[in-house]
Amino acid sequence: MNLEVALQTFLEEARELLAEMERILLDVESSEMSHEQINALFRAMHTIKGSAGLFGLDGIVSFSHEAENVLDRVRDGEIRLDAQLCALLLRCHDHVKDMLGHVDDPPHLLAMANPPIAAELRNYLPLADSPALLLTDSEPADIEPPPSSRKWVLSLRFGEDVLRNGMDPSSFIRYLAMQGEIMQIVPVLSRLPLGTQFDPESNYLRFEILFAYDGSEQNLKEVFEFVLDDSRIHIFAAEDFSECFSQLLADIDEAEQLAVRQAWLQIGLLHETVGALDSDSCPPAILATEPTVTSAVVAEALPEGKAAKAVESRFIKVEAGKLDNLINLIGELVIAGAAANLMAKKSGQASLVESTVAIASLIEQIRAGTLSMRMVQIGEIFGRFPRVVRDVSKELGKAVTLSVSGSDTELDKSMVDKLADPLMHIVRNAIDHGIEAEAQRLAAGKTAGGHVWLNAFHESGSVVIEVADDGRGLDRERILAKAIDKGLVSAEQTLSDSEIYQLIFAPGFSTAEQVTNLSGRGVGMDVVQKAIDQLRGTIHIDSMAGEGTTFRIHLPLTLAIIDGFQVGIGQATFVLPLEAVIECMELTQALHHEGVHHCLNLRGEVLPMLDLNAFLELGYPKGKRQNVVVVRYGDSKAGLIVDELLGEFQTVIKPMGALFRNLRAISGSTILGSGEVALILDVAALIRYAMASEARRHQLPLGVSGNVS
Amino acid sequence: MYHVVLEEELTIYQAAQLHARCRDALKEHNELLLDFSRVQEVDCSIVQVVLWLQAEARLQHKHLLLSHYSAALIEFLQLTGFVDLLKAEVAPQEGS
Repeated sequence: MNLEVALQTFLEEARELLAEMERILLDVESSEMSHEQINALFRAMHTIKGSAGLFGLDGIVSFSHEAENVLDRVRDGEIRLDAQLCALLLRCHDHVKDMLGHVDDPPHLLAMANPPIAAELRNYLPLADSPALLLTDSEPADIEPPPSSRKWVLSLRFGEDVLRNGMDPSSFIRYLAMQGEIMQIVPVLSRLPLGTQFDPESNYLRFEILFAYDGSEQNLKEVFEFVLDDSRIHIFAAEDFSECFSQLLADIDEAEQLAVRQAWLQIGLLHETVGALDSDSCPPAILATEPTVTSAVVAEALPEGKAAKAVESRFIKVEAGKLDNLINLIGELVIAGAAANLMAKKSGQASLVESTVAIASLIEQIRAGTLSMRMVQIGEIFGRFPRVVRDVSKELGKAVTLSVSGSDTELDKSMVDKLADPLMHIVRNAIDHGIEAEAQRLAAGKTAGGHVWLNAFHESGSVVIEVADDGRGLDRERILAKAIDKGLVSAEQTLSDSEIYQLIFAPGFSTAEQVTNLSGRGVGMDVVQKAIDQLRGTIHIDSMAGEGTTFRIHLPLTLAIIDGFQVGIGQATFVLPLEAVIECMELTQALHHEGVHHCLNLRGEVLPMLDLNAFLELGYPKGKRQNVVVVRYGDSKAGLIVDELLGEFQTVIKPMGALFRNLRAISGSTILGSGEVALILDVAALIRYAMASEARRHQLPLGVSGNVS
Repeated sequence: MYHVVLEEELTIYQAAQLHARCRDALKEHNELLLDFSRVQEVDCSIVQVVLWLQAEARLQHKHLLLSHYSAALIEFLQLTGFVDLLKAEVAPQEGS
């Protein structure tokens, strides 16, 4: 494998791991985390670190190492994964993702290795893992300082907020103890208030330490890098004590001065006479100030990386183009198989027919298997939404809960990719405009927090995706007024609610003061409509004023091969998607009678009927026997009148030429075994037509429609 | 003597609660015993609370007993140099 390909594999893998990490973290924000989930989080960072090491991406190695260390502690139960840590890890996730975008720019990557969040991460570590240790080869951590170690004077004046910021002074001391030897330590308590002034979450503790350490001043300074903002840390060599002691007394009140003096008396470095000397001659102590950013390689990552690689992968990545080729070939195979079957039948040889039937059944399995390779769970895009909802609701200051169901619903990969943006748009829209502000919600007798539902399921040959909210609902009158204003409809037109809601998708229904538009983004809902159209899908809106809005997107299941149902009308053969077919029945004379009104009474349910011969203007004489195929799309059903029922048939969808692209009732064509071309009927369009023409008849003057019943 | 048995985990997350608990206990009782036998995790914020309580008790002439230090607590006090300031008056119990 060449390096470039390997790198791409790494990037792909890393992105998947990050997506998994994000999913778990968002999950956990609302519930308790299981051990497996924590392990998965750890593994994600560990694997990314290891693999990045193999490619020499040192920036990623060093940053992910920090996150891994924290997760390691979580895994060992040493720290709890609370909401705050979750949020921090999410930001780490973002940062690693950012870094992955810069793998071809090593200097940039290295510059990103130590962002401010790395410091926050280190707050969760016992200091043994802090970068001072990690990034310095010269100082093995766990070797006791040799007796010749230099002695250092440390005065740690931790600020009041260190505890609140999640840092415990004792963890610094613990780290020091691992780096060298704490020869003496004296706490200074002079700041500890009494009575009600005591705040248990403020830090009042300070420490004076005599420390034996053979590292450099710089390294010692780095230990306290993260508390420098609000703490004063004095570090100097013990041999300079007499010159520098007075520095320890600067900036502190008398009580503390006294306590510090006593501390150093106790430690034995201070003799009664020294403290009072003035300090002008003193060389400046290392008053640690600027954090120094060190970026270096973590060499140990390499062997770990190899170990991570050894974890067996359950997935094989295949180039999408190869799969497309395979699907095309299978399409041809289906057609060729049908032709062979036809020939065998004509030849009248039973054994030949038998073997072609066996082949046909195998072809079908291969077809199903290959198509399923292209299918991915819609969870892949649903998974992004908890984050989106979280971010958008925070941004807008609304509390919004998201419920996701049906993430395991499968959809063609190419559709999933194209669906992400329109869905995102609808969800953001729902939060922005659907969900009311908290006060309004409470006034309306709702819960303070809003709710958004994402749902996906299969329904008669299509995939349905719903985005629902429990917000204020669409404002019918406002939309209508706006549409009339924009000249999209005339004031005289009578429109149903759903037709009015549909107006928000009109391209002219744009921008300013719009009821359902994302403020400031200037993108209208027509973009959503366009994207769904491209996928041969439809979108509908249900809305109840004050109760919420549901966007329902219907999408075809797949784009290449479908199970078809063949019907014959005169000499012509047509194909209906089998999933849309509910049942077939003979159009008896009795039924036909009722058919005067183009309606079918199906066990008490009245369905509009469409005579395809007439509708498609085929002009064939009426067949001896006629049948009705009851088809369904979404909630609507209709009966289609055909002559012959020819049965199931695997249908390879061939796109229509550009000339026919605007035909509404035909969605594609296919080649039959005999080599003839059959047209695939667009059930959704047929049903819409049948229902619309039914509705038109009911709009006739009352006197006429009165006859119908 | 009123007994306050401290929890296993005593960190900044418990500091405010512990402070309130000790303050109330000190208000109502003249003799207070803090039992540290279960303490497994401790940080500076807790030490502060105990130091505060000690000072408050002295001020109000009440009696405070620190008792049954766990191994984890002793280790912590040694590390941070508090061992002389917070002396246990009842020896740690074996195995508790």
